[in-house]
Amino acid sequence: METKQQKLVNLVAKISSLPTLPHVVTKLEKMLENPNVSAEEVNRVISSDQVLTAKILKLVNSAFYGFPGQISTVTHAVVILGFSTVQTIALSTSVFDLFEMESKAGRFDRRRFWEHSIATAVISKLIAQKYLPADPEKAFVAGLIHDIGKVILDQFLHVYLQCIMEEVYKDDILFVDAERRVMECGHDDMGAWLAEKWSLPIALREAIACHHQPAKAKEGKILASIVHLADIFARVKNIGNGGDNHIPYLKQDAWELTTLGESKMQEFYDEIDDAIEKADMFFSMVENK
Amino acid sequence: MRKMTIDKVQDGMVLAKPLHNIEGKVLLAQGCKLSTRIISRLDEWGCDIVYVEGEPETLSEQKSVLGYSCKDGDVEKLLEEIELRFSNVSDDPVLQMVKTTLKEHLIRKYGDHGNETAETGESGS
Repeated sequence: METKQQKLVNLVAKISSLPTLPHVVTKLEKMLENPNVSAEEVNRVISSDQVLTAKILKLVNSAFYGFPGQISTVTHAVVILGFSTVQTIALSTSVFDLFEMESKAGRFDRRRFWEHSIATAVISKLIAQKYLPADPEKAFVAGLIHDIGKVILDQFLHVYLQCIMEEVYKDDILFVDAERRVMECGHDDMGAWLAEKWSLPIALREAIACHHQPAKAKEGKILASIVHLADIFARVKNIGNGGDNHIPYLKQDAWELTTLGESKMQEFYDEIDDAIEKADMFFSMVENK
Repeated sequence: MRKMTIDKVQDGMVLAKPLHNIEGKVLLAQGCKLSTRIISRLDEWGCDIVYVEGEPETLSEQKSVLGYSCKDGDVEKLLEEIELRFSNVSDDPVLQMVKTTLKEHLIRKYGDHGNETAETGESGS
């Protein structure tokens, strides 16, 4: 019998040209491993890519990071916001650029998909900052690319995506359930596979692979739990669209890791509204592409 | 309401939502008419995006208002939509609590003062 892994390999073998991250972003990922890296070194690497530099400066100066219009250089951004934030921004904007915004055909709306992804990223960061302590930047990235497998399906394995979307509409079911009817490995496995190709850290890969079943994650359990919940709350708040119109089941063990509860929900919803509004620049990057 | 980046704002447009700075202080009130002089300062103030009066003109403007829309202050309809979205998880106690508190949240936002929805960031597109 073929293992799940083999099935994934057979599927992705059909992809001819895999999207790769820009060299600069990969280099930043490696640099982050060195705790002594200086702002000047980071600046030198990023500045070699003018387009990326401009985009980073635009985002660091948006309301989301709390210093609108006050940061004029990459060095300055690293000093004020930290290397990890700048790296998150570099990775986020590069991911948007790798894929076209228009879906191939049919019912999958790629812009609304990215809105769902950005909302999940913003809510993941909020949960990591306040309700289930974790690195907020890692949480943001994990939230942003948790469903990247769906874009791979849309872009490279479009026939499968069409079948999935037909099932979603026919029976008004969740994307993830429709996917199980159509193929044996899912967008979660596929996203994790791409993250591995991109040499992203193990916790991040696990968060992608296990965002529907955080209990299965090992090193990335906290991150996977955060993304699992943020994915649900992006749907609860109806921001963007991940491919279907329902709320998936919430995993009790992920919920219990957080300090969220009935008495905190009103505050939490207000915080989500506020964070989403401040993340305007991310949403407009998708809209205006 | 139209949502746009500041480079697309034109002389004479009217703000549909107040413009805040990062500390939450209102820079310009809702209803303020944007002049060329004001528009040239938006960038300095660190504003990226403004909401102005009028019907959306492009697809991206139409889709750009995020979250639930509460057209004509019809909260009842919104609550029905919520029921439908949660219909497949009626046996999940946490999600039932989430649903109940979400409804409270939306009633709080749209219910008592339906006309002020333009200020809340999630009103109709």
